[in-house]
Amino acid sequence: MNFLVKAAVVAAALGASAAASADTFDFSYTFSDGQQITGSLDGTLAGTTINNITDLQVSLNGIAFAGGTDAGGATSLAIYGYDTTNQTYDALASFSTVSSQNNFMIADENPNTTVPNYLFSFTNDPVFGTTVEGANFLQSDSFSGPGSTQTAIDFADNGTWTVTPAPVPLPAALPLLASGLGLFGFARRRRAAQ
Amino acid sequence: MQSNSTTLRPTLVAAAVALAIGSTSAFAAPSLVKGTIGGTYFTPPVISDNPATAAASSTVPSVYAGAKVCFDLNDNGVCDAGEPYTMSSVTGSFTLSTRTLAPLVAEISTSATNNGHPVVNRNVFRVKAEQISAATVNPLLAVAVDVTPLTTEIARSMEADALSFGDARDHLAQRLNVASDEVLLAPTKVQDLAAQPAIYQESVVDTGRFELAARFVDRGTASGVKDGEQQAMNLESIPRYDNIFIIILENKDSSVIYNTQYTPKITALLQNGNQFYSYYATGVPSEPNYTALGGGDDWSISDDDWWTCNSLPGGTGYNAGSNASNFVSATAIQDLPIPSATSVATGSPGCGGSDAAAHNIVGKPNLFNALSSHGMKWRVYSETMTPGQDPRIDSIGSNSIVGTDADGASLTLPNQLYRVKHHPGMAFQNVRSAPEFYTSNRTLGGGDWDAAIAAKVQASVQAGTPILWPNSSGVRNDPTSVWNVDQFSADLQSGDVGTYNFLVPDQCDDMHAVGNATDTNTPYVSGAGGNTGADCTGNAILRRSDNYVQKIVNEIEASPLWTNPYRRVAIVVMFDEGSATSGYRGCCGWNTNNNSNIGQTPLIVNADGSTSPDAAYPVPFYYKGNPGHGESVFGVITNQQPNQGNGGTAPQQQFDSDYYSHFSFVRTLQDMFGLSDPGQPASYMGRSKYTESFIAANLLNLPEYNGSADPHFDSVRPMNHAYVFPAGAVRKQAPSAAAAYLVTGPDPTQTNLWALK
Repeated sequence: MNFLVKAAVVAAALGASAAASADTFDFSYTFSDGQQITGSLDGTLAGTTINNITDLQVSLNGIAFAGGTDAGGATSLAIYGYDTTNQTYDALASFSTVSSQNNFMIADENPNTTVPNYLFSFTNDPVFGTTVEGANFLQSDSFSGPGSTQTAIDFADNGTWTVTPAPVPLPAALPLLASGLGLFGFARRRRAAQ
Repeated sequence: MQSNSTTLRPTLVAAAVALAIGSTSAFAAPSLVKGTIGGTYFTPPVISDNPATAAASSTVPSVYAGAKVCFDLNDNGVCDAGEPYTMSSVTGSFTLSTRTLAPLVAEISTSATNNGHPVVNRNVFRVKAEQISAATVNPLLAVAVDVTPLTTEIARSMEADALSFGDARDHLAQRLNVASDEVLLAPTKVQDLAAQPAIYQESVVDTGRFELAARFVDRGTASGVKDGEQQAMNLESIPRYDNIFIIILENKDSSVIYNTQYTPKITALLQNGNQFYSYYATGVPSEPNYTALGGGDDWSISDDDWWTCNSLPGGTGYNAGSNASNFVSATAIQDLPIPSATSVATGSPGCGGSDAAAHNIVGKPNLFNALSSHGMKWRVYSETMTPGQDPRIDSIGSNSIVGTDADGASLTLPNQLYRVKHHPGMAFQNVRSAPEFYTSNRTLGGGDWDAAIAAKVQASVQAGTPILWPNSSGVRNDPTSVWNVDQFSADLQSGDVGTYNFLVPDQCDDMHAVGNATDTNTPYVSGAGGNTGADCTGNAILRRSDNYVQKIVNEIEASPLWTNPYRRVAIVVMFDEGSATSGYRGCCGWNTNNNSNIGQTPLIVNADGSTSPDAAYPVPFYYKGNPGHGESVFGVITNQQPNQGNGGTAPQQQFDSDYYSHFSFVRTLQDMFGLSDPGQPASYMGRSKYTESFIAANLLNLPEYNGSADPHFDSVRPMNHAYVFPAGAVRKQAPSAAAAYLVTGPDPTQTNLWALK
């Protein structure tokens, strides 16, 4: 009985620790012409804004960006904030569950210093309005869509934007519980042996 | 409607953003574009001799689906393998990206559709990279860029005139009198109702020109798309004009006009503009010349028995039910309603001619049908018409309309100041049957009787029985359709003139004369012989007409059309015929030496390029036509000449002594307005197709040219000054040519007098 109580306390503590560091969110934008951006990220939801974003994964029309290498070296996705005053991408990213609050670009290279191979941007400019776009400039890899590039663009947010917490997959929770119980069991056996 | 405002993203902050971007990166700017392949769907008019089956054209804004749009990375006007491309959707939309800023090209093949209709002729539209750049805020922010005929024209003009994108865009917008951002939009997105007509028409015209360009590329006569576009806008080196005003005068050879005491103003116009020194008429008298000016052949007409001359009560002509053989295939239904006699006349002059030719030309091509088939408007402005009259019959006099001439004399209105025979489209049945016929025939002011006519019209309005335009549906500027004695002035101000405008002064102002005060002149109205001032005859009529021409030129030059530096506008001062009846009386497509060996019917070019007599529409006594006549002055003034003050650089005060004729002029007009394809001789109407090479290739069917002693003199060419006379060459000229026009050897310059820069 004592063992079970301790195990439950430890499990709760792990769970609480996970919630404080990041949750996983799925997002998607379906353009007015049917093209679609889908992806996921880890971050912390504060109100309607997700901060501390890591582990970005994005697909354009179902084709995921898996990283690659170009003349500048290895590439991987990161998020950049859109500066509505200067129309540059060097501000704090605003990734929101509310589309009108978005101002970001997810790109595989820093858009302030080079041209990314891959980008998904969602901006709300006070002068020019909303622009949502996905583009894959790569011309000779698995991203190649119609022609040799892919592009999806909406002006004025004509598509559908959704951000939802990702469900925790049950098979992934069981090993966690088992490992916790194992730790308790190991500790108990050590104390018994002492 | 004119505005410098723009709703596009870049223009407000482009400079600041460019600085910001430039300060943080040096990478090649990518392009993320979403747009529409747009244009217009033009339904050509139904050209028919029968007004019941003729139909007007229509134009609607459109989108092209299934067009291949690409970033043209090597800027060659072609979507090459490896260049990013996509296909436009059913709504004409596309999205496309490239890492490197590049022009856009839309290849519109015959497998694409235009508003759902199959594309008949391949075409290519373009957008310059500078346009995309100008629309770009941040290279990584997408921009909306449509690909249209107008963006293609902007690209072409940038390349032709070394213009910046902004200048090319603004020049086009100002030429069309619309806002700058509107010329960048797919026509379906142009919301400004006032701007739509000009943009739609420009789209139709540009579409036709760029179809020609694609054809030149496919044919191998253009080195590429860009070269093809430049060729298509300068067919046979004749540049595209927006408007031409042709002032036609009567029956004077060049020696009577050029540098004489009677016509100092016309002389000055000729000298300050450009002159063609060896211009020949088609025949004698008036009607064959005007008919030739309308369609490149006189169809054997060799007198002035205009088609309704004996149609009025008392006459014995076709419309009176007899002598039908004079009118080929003419039946009553072909010109219903038959010109009304009772509304404007009670008598008939009868016809005294004897050429036995068909004066009602059926089923033949002409400039009027061709212009409307290419989305352009034509106008014939005639002076001193009878208020409310049908333009298919001559004007009539009236003792109740009393004018005042320059000397202050009171003059009653004489008959026939307006003559059907002086109308270049009147002999063509399919012109008279066209839906736009009545609205395209308008009035020209400046006559001695204008004030009296206007007073009569005003009185009719006050009496509740207004005198209206004939057969009017209210489509003229005047919404009430009340007769306007000077519609030309109103149209000059509103811009509602035609692309082609034929200005016909009355017979006192065109040097023809209708007789003097004692001449009863076969009056239509009993007792209304009318009288004209002493300046409507003799040498005085030259001075009178000299003043009138200057008046009309001044009016055109004061118009918003002329002073718009980005429009291309020309005035032509010319005569229907000269006076020579012997010697070198004609050139350039004429029936050499009045050769009776001419084919018995006009020549047609078959689909396989072969020629044969036109069995479907034989022309009686064809060999009697086109005998040639001349020479007369021909001057060109354009608003692009430096002395016009618009900042233009077109040639001025130049001359061209090569041989030209009405057929040459008709060919030139076909080039000027993109009505024909220089690679297809058959696309030129009538005898205007009779170039030296065409005659040589079809000599068996052109017996009148067999044994020609001077093929260059006898053949047709556009008026482009391309031919260089050999050293010592003496011009073949009529005895009546102006002495100053007699030159030998090459001309001092080979300047194309129609050139715009």
